[in-house]
Amino acid sequence: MFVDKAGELIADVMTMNRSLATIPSASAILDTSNYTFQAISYGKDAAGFQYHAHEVLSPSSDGIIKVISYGSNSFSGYQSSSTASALEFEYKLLPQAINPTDTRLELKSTIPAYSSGVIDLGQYLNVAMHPTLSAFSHLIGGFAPASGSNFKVYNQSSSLIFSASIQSFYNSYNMMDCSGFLKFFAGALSEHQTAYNFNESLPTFPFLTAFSAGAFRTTGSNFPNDVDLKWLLTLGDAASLNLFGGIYQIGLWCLDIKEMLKDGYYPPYNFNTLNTNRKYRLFAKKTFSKDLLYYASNSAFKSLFIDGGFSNNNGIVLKWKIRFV
Amino acid sequence: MILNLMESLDIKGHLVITKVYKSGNEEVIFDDHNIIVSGMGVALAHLFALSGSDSILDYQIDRFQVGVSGGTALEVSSTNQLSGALSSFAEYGLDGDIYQASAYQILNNSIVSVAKYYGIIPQQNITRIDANTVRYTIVLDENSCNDVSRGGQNKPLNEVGLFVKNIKNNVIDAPILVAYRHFDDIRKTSDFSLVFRWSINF
Repeated sequence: MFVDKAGELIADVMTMNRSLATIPSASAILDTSNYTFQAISYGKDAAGFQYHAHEVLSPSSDGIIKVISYGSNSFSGYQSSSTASALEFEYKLLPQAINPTDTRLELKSTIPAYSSGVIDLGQYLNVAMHPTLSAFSHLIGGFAPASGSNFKVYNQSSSLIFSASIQSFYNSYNMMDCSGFLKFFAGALSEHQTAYNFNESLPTFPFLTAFSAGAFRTTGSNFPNDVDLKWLLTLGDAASLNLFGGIYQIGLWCLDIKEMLKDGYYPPYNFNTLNTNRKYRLFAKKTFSKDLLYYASNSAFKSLFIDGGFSNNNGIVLKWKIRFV
Repeated sequence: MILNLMESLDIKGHLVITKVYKSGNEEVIFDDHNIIVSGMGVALAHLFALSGSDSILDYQIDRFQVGVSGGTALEVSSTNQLSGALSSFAEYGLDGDIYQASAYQILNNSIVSVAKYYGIIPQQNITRIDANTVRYTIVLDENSCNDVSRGGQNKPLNEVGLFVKNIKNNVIDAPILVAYRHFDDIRKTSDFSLVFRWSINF
């Protein structure tokens, strides 16, 4: 669903003062790139920030992602749905109902169980890139450091049933800031087009290289009826999000130019992982009633964790088609 | 995942046409919704794909046309031009206050390199009503668009359209129709001004 803020952005474009074009220091505000899609984010139900890998806080300094599987003892992995069904009297897994007035993915507090210094942004954070919270990324989530992170899955009797390590593709290539915003590739449209058109089914497809620049937008064969967006979630990042409760929401964001100008930030608004000069405005969100990472098969589920989820030819390619006509 | 922007955002508009006489008396002669045509989606697709002009000024609704051959059959989203737009600076009025421009036009996503004539909407007549609504005020003053004729016959005004400036960044502006409305015949004379107050809710 497109939210009201999307219409507000278009109204901003329609009413931007023409006289700015004659002021050299201000003309950069009129650059079209300031008004298009700039970031993707992931979310889940607000209550989920108290469960899953957020739940086991001790020991807090071991750097290990720890999660209790409430499902079958024989299951060698973690399914967020089993947590919800085991705790159904206190915890439902569904995110909030979508509303046009939404300005973030989840309106209720998304402060996790480990809350010290954590900002409530309504979505998964990426504190592995945060200057002071990175030591607690295994508790806050939602992504592993570039150097990797160990994780352990316990059953309800506290017996270890599965352990391995995962790496974050997003953090290895500095594609996502500490607030959890995955950037769009900043290249020209033709470069977006080239990258978008790679055939990801080819076994030799250089997955990581192609997608390490960020998300792509394209004007495919059905343009201007459609604009297509495409990005990669490697198995390592998928595994991490799985341990922290899965994906129930995806947000599409533009820059909030007016807010940034009000706060004294002027173009160019370059991306950096500390998110020091960008404010985002929600443009659209998609909510799922079932975890996007849910697998019915145990073996398929375990494949999320192969090679730390960093295998060259493994990943989930997400495509989002925006229809304009 | 597929999201339809035009349906989901439900972009819509409302048009009020008023006669304003020299005495100051006003008469509302039209008050109804308008048709947002497919050109709006085309313009926004170019904006969000970064596929056209690199200045957002080229994606603004900054001009209009009035015409004499409108009809209800044109009140559909596929309409991409007025049926009988005024076709010269003289028809818009050489002694009037309308700032005019000639430019090309986009039809079916292609630039048609034939001069068309437009009235420009001054910046001060573009007003933000609320967070999502913009009002465009078009004034055909007493000396503008009077006594338009075709084939020696006087032709009343009966259609109006809003245009986005130049999404394809063409050297000569190539506007695209984004909103259209047919209205009952109005024979414009020097006795009154005609004011269009057009609100678009994005």
